[in-house]
Amino acid sequence: MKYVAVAALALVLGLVLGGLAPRAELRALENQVAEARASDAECRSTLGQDLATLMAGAREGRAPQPPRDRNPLGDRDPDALAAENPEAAELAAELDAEREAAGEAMADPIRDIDPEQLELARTALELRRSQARAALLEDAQPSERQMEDIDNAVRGMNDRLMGLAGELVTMIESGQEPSRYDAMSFAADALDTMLAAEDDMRSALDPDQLEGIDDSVLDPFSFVDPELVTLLESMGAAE
Amino acid sequence: MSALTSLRDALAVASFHVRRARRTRTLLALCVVYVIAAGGVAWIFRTVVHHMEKAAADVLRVPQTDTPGAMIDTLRTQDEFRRMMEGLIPDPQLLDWAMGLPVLTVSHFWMALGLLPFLAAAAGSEVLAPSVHDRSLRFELVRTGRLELVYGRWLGQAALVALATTLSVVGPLFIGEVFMVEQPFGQTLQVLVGMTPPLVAWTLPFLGLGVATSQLTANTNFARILALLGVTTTWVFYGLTFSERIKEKAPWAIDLISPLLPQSYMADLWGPGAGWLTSGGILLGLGLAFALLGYPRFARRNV
Repeated sequence: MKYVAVAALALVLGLVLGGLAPRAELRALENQVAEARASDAECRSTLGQDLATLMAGAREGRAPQPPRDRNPLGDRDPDALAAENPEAAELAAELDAEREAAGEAMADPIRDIDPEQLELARTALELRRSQARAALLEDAQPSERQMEDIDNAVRGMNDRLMGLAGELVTMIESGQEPSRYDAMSFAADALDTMLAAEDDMRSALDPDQLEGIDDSVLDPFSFVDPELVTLLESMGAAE
Repeated sequence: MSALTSLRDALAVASFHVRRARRTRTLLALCVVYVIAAGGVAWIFRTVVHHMEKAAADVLRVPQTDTPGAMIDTLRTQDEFRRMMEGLIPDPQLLDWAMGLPVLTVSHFWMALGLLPFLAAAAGSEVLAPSVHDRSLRFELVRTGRLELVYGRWLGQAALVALATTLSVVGPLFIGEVFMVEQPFGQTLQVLVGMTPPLVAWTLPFLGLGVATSQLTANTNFARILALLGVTTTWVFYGLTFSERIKEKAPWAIDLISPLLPQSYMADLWGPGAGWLTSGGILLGLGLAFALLGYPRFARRNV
């Protein structure tokens, strides 16, 4: 065992002494990299960017001015009118601002959503679906046959919802703006689909099982496929 | 004594140590402690997951469950979770491997890295001290040398610790199967068993530290305290190797100390395939060397 002891000590000595030079070399290189990164980080000049902007401006000429609105009060100069009626001009400006803000908020909600938020929404839907399924399994303890029926109901609901969303996307892609009636019809169809799915899920379970579970366990909103978010995302891109 | 006789003696001592541990139920106690420890860690992980899932269920307005685990797999497949893990595991290949593992196995591995050194050192401190205390050691020393006795018992205890570490996978498996949902039993078992050899290698230096303290004193409790202090010291020194102040003032000290610390090879044990074998070999060498730390006193003491 002396040889084993000597070998172990030699290994330790080799690790300590033999590694000194390579470790020092590695440290020196790490320092060089760190210094290079630091100098790179300090270089925050926007000269290049400014120059490019200037050159682009020179090439395109004067930046286009927004078209002036037509005077809704006739041919008289709006500035002259505003000077004569300052209160009315202020009120009109406020109304315009409110109308513009409301218009922006209503115009395109999906296009303005950050992709990260859409990803979060998808994750949340997926988590809801997993948790709702686990709660259903735990509370109702359905048989395999019952679970199969419930899965079929959920699958059918999601297929129908995807179909409805697909119709909406097709409509928007073809340049057709959905009317108020279309939106209401879409919402009614979606709700009908969900109600039908919940009815199917409830009919798959026994009365005793239904009594034992919380009402929210069979909430069809919890079983919505996250792919719906992807489809809605494509609707935002289409617009 | 020839090299072959010396090796044969050490193996005989190791074999006797294992048989005696089985006869005196020391082996059983060791295995129970390891299984309970691993199970306890898995239970803590399960509790954390359960609280997180309950909070998430409240936020998402879905019903809570009594048994956690439903959300883990969903989270694991999300891009956001992967981006978060990239911060911890920069290597893309290693990240791919880690993302495919059942979460219980990951928690078992990383918790074991923190817990096993203390268990192994405590087990190692009982290798020689009781025999010195009751003076039974002298009957074995009639037949073999002191170094053979030290390494023989170290080897025997390493075998016991390896067996206990292997059996400790029962803890997370039981927790995952009984108290959690959607934990793939077969894959979890396979990964846990695959993680056992690196974990055994990881315990060897600390076992050696325990054996060293067991040679210093005949009082087992004192040897155990010394061993646990030794393990704590290695963690403190490991933390100091990251100190910017020491890196600036005395980088040579880090260069001298870090190769001696088992923790320096810890990260290499984590990964697929046989990539851990180099670090495992170094840890084995450190284990054999650490066991010699108490030998100068043991070689001279009156037993």
